[in-house]
Amino acid sequence: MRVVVVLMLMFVVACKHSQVDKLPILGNKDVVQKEVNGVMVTDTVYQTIPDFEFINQNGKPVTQQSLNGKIYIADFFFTTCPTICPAMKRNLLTVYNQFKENDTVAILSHTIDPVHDSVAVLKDYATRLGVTSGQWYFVTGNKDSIFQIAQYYLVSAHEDEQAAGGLLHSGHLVLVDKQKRIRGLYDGTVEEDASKLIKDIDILLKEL
Amino acid sequence: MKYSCFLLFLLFITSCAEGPSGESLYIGQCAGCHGKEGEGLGQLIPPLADSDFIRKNNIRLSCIIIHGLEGPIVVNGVTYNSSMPGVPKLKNADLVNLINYIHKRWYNDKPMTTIPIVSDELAECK
Repeated sequence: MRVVVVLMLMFVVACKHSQVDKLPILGNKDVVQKEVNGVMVTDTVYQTIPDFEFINQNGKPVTQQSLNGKIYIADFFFTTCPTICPAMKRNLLTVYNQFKENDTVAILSHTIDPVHDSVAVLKDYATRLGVTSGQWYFVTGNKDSIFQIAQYYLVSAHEDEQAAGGLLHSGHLVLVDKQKRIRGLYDGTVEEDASKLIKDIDILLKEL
Repeated sequence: MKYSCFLLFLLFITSCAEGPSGESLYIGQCAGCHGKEGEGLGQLIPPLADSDFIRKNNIRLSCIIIHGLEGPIVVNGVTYNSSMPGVPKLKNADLVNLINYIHKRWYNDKPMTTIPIVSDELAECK
């Protein structure tokens, strides 16, 4: 009888646990077979964001190590962007103000025009936007490295003579967890997506 | 009866130009940068609401909207220096609706503009 009660309790707890919101893991994945205790088991290996080295608006290097133990939001922009960037930054500003005091949340905005967007230009941009503290990094670096890493974030970015500003990029905000996996993609130009992003950050922060 | 209906009809067609409303044009063309409430974006993008720059009577909004704006400007004591892209394809009728929307929303004391006024202004843009 006691066993039945314990089993029932476990069942109830397990069911309650599965009702907690959990964000999906996005991106490419490999299904691999591996041997565990002599038995072949199927495991899913999710794509992660590889290491990088860029420089932020304060002239300091930013790498994956800088973001260890943190969840972060990544996006791609350029300071002279005439179209989607202001709307993206406005929405990111809402996210930034919400989590400014929380050390575990960072924002990583990459410029896709490193020739124009030097450290000084990024510093001026960040200050004008109202970002003077917290963990919103505006980074520049090697152009090829930036374009390459954009692909890992499932964001397209490339030069295009036809595009306004000469550069074409998607306005996605990408939510990355502590294991460097993508957990959400949001349209940075849509206010409702920014609200969803804030809710999802709260969910992700609760994840162990 | 028919006469007053006709008069009402005339009043209707002359007070708004045809085409998309000023509000929908503002949301589609301007709000992304200048904000839904015309608040701008920090010190990156100037506000449209309560802007001393716009209050100046010699400002030609039509030129700015069509051709954009380069170079530093001072708005309410803050210097802005990003470049504003113009919307060159905007038709005169749409321009009238958009400017009248901006005036009505934030600058009640400014008069309504019309297609002839806007045409003349655009001919004078530098």
